[in-house]
Amino acid sequence: MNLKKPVILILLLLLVLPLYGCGQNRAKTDRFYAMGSLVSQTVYGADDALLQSVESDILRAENILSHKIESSQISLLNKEKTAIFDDDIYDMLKKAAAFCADTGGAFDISLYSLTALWGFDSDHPTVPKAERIREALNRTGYQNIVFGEHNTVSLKNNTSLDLGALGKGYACDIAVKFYREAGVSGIVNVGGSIGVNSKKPNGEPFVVGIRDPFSTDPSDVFASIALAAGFVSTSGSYEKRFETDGILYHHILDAKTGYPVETDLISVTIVCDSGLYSDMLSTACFILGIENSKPLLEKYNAQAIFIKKDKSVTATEGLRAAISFYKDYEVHYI
Amino acid sequence: MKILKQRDILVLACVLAVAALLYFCMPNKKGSIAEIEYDGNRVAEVHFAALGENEVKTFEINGVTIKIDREGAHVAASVCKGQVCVHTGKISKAGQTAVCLPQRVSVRITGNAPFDGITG
Repeated sequence: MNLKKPVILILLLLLVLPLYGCGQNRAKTDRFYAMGSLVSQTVYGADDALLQSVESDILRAENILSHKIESSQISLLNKEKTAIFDDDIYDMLKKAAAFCADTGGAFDISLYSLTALWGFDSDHPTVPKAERIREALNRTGYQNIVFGEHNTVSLKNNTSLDLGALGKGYACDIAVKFYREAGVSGIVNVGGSIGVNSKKPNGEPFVVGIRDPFSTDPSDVFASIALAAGFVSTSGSYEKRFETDGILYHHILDAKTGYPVETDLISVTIVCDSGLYSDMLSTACFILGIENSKPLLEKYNAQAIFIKKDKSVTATEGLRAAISFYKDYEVHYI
Repeated sequence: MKILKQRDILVLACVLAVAALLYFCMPNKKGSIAEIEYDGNRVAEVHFAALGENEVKTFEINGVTIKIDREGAHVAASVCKGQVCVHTGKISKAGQTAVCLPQRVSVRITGNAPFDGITG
């Protein structure tokens, strides 16, 4: 029997097989600045055009949603009190306003008058005078957002919008939609809000570290979540804060008092199937606290990790199999 | 006497070809590198292993001063007002990044990072 042919065939197969996997496994990365953050994406088996499309669509969304961009539609809406949006943005704004109602106004996208007063995004945040806070509160309230015909949004009572609590999550939605449509696996990180589509080519899930809020090192993590698909966002009082007369002021404001929310929490991380909702939920749950967040988490089918100032951790049962802890914090599941 | 038969040479060639392909398809597992980016584009990279014991490389990019030695990289100075990038301190582990958002400059340690992303 002539063994030469089968041997050569096997050798040729050995030669070709790695070539087949090569293109699929190749990771492409891209970094750019949008939504006031560094955006990074790593996508497997995609071409440069896909990454470019993600980048241009996220930048386009920023140019519509950012109140920091003078020519944005949100800036126009805040100034003129009426503006017309495209279908996607109009739909997103409606969802955001409905979410504000679901939280009983604890989460509110109409706090621009207050956030501008505190200036957490500026170089010199300051504690405003009580009188000015009271005056600004009169110009807030999601109930003042009116959704009209032909995608028109109007603002009553001199209200203005600040979409800072949802922009990063919405950007993650944009990226993951592209990955899904192209059928590729990838991860996008928009300043700490993360979106994932399918497992890596080697079959492993993506591993998302959760920053330790008690560490000054931004790469120091206390836990990680293995994620094959979905979105993760975190809100906490350890970032964007300043100290005046020995008091620390953080950037998550109480829509009722106009001052930073007083809570025993230091950080909340949300995992769910939407970037928009994961971002909004992380802020809302930080404001509401553990007990009051439960109905909201249930409604939006979301999982959460709450960290208290006393270093105790409360996680929802749905995360038990996906989460790993690296620090000696007391953990319990609800 | 022939040491290698024709078939042995063919087998050897195939094995070498497969090894070469696998090498180029595998993720980069070389030692850590500090990568400096401006506006999302790589402008410089430094291999830690190539630096001398007391050698410090300094880069000035868009008002941001980055210093790199064998122990790591850090933003030494920046014209930005917040100074968050400077306060990040020295980074040395794969996956760590120091970013100056206002100046759009970052320095990142590449390599096999333990996490695909960090939320927070």
